[in-house]
Amino acid sequence: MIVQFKLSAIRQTRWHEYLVRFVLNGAMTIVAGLIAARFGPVIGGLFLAFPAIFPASDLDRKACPGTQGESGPAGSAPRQGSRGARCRRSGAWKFRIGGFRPRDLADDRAVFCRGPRPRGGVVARRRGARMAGAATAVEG
Amino acid sequence: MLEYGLRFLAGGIAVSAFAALGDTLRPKSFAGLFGAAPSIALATLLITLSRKGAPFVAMEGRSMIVGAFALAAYSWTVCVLLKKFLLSSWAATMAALVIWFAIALGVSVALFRFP
Repeated sequence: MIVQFKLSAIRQTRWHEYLVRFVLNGAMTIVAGLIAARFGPVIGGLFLAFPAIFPASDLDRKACPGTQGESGPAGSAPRQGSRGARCRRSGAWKFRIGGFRPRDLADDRAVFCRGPRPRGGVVARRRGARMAGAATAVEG
Repeated sequence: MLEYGLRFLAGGIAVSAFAALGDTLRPKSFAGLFGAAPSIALATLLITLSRKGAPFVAMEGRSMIVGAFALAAYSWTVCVLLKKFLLSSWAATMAALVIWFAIALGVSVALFRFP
């Protein structure tokens, strides 16, 4: 994995997104301090590890690298919410737990980052097709 | 009041800085590591140390370890909610907070006999 530093990505983030992050997390830091003052260091310490950055990061509108949404093609606004955040989230943990691997996320990243989310019926059909393909492969 | 003002500024700046760093790095699977950065702790521990002394900070640090385990469980839950249940990211991150609270408070009660 080659890590790249892309400074121009900062300009793609809108100022109000930084403002929301700043205000939300500044407020959360105050709340953590108030909890420590009111309930003591044991409970207060827990809130120092509160996942404040995580929900706030979901407010951005970026999509994944290599897709149309990243640079914002003319006339198309990326869907509000989270495809970029979903991709970023996949790096937040590195262990295999309960049969769910980070690699699964990497495989699905292209699906997450591409266009609107498929409806339930479409997902079911895709799963059915995948299972049928797997059955065929096993039988073959 | 000044203390809480400092906390607000330090917390906002630390988190925004980590988020901006995450934005600039590629691939995103690496940049996501900065979503788990202890930004609130970095922002406040120094202030707490100067105000309340080392024993208070040491106890907070011990609880932070429990909070970090809860954060790991929270992150895993968010991934599952997104991938398996196809929730929106806002709904997933908010719903998974229940897991964070349950594990953080439950383990604290079990380990530290609190309250």
